Amino acid sequence: AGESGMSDAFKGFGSNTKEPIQIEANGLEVQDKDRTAVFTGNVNVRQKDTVLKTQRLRVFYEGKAAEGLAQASAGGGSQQIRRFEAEGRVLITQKDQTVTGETGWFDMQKQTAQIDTNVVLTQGKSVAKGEHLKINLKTGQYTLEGSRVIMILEPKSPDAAPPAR
Amino acid sequence: MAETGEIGGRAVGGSGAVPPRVPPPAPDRDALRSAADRHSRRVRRLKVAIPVIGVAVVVAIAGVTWVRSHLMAGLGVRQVLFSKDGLTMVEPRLTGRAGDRRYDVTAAKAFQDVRNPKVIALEGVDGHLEMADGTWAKIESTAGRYDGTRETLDLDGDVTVVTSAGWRATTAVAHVDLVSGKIDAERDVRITGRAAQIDSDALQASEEGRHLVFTGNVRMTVQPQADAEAPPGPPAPAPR
Repeated sequence: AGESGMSDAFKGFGSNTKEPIQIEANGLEVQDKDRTAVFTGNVNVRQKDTVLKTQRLRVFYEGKAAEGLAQASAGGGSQQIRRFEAEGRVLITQKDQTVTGETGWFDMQKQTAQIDTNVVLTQGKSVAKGEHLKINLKTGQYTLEGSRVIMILEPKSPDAAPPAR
Repeated sequence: MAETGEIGGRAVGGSGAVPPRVPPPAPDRDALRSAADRHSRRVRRLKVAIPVIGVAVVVAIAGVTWVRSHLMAGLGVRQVLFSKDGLTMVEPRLTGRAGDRRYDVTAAKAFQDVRNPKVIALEGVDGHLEMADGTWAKIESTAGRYDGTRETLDLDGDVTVVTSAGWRATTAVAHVDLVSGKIDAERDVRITGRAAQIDSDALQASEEGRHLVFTGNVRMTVQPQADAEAPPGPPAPAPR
């Protein structure tokens, strides 16, 4: 399993309750009886300088939508979100770091997240590929697992293109 | 050309003491003839007015009883004005029950067209719905249209819904299905709560707001933890 110094890449994403979260999408369906809100179509979630993009985002929340929406309870709206699952061209960017994959989930209570399938992790010019990226949202630490983990470090000379896999 | 009289809500017929009869001064012939003309004109007008009043009264009774019986509703009206086109209710108040929802809807004005009594046009709508579980919703709009056949209420212009749960919704146009309780809000939908706000082009709300489908340019903002929550209350009494 590879590991690299991008420790603050995901620190606090979604679990940081100091910053508002902006979510944009083509559609949203809230089903209070199963406590889910599903955003569909070019979903774009932004909190401070972290952005998550995906095609479909399912949000699992606590309590009732009506109450959750209305009262800023102890944790505010974001505290109400228990977990969210992203599906379809998942892309997370923060400053010069990005992660892409097919699916991903964020567990707000355990403060853990995971991106799966064709995972590509980049920071500046260095790139890492694998199958599963496990992230600890509290510390920002992550581990990349998967059969073809390769670590392309930033080549010294700027013009040397990384070998195409 | 039939002359139609405007029958306002004015009190008809004198009340109080009848003025003493004073023999008229010796009228000359012209005065007599013009008085006769005036009299016949009045008779002609009455001949026309009476059937119109009759129709209007029938429409009013039909409309009011129909609304009352249909919605098991109490309909209070401060004033009813009849005109050849139909019946205008001033400050009507409709209270009643639909399913387990109790409602109390007032309007500045309601107009019921003679030709289509099942439709009531409303101005200045102010509705209050109370659900069985005690939750309530207050609905306001500049104009509205109640359709008795389809049992729908279309609201138009600054439609605002405030609910006991604490969130508030505004939209430009909303269609309410009074039987199923489904609400379709069109154009500039905004739902605001202390914890979050959702904007979209349109919204379909059903199951008393427990199932919401927002479509088009959905933007949601989830507020962070409200740091300065309510000011700290008095220290809890020390447990004995």
